[in-house]
Amino acid sequence: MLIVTARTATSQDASLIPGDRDASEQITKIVEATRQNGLPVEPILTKVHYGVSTVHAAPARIVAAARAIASRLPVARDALAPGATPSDIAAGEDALSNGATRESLQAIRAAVGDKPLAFPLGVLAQLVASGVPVQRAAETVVSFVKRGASQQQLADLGNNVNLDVASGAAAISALDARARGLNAVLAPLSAAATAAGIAASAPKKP
Amino acid sequence: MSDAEKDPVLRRAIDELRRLPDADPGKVKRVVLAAAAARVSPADDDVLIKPPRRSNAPRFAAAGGLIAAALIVGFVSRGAFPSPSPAVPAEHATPQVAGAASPSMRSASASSSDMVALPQQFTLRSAAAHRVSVVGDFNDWNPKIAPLVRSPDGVLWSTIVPVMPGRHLYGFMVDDSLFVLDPRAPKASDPDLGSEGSVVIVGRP
Repeated sequence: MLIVTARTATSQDASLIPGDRDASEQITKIVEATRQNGLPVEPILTKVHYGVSTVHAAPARIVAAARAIASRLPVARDALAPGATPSDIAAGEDALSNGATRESLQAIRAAVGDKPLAFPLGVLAQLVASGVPVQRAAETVVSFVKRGASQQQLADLGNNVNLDVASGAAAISALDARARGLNAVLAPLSAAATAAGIAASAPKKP
Repeated sequence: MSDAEKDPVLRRAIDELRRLPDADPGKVKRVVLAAAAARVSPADDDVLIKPPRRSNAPRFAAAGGLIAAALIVGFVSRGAFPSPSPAVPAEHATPQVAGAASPSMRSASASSSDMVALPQQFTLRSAAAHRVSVVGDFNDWNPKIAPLVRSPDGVLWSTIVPVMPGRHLYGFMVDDSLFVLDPRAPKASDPDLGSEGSVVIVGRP
């Protein structure tokens, strides 16, 4: 059994980062530690494969990337607890890598409830990656989720802000403009809440 | 002998009960009242009132088996049971039948329609290319998984790939060696490796 395990590990070491046994062993250790912590290892393996096969990054940089992902995964899991799925955790880790904070992940989790988080966290990551301050990005996503924006509308928001910034606009200005456009087609928050059966938060008269 | 007493399991239970000392009627009454108060639905009454039917036993056994199987599948799919295989290189971890869905998404519990892979079309204009494939975090950056097909006029390449909802980094691998971005998609820098990729946010329409 030990021989089989050792053989398996050796073949993995050789294939993770071809030509660099030391880096491959480091990656293997990071992956195993992550797995033992009950965290998804796919984000690490996917990043390693991306670094090796697509952008041909230096082995040391790939190891550093794997280590960075491994350090963000538990933060994402804790922020999205309870019941975060592996895809939720992976999306949370991606958002953190782009500058999102634990608090912003918690805010998204609170707004979305038990539904899958990969999509709203992806929009958060896109806004933050485009240069929108994280708190403002989280508030925007939370607000539009609560108001019943469709996934396509939120995806368009994230993509359009990104394209606006790429064409020279300031991130906040781009977000304001695109949010105004989405506001115009969405019902006010109170109407959406009523439609969803949520009690209005207005204070009751004595 | 009644039908119930013919059942070997019930007969053993009755034998065991007969060995017990005489019960205090007051305590029995308290237990019965407590049990009655604890009933949560009328369905419980049916279970208590109906005489035991031997034909139900296989059904319960089958239902129990199904529940156990569902629990095992559920635990495995949610990653509660560790995989017996150690770290597997990403390219080997991609199942043949799963299309291009991200492995991180594949291992998630598909608890709602939000967790269903959605068809996503990728296109690239290139008259000079001989082979084009889309690579991204949804297919482990493996150029063998999602090749694009050239249009009859030889200029436009396209493919449709199932992608899980969320934000994905991707690009095109041209002629197996040249990584190019999607000129019509937003771009983002990979924060860990510093490289640039195209971005797609996949969501339900």
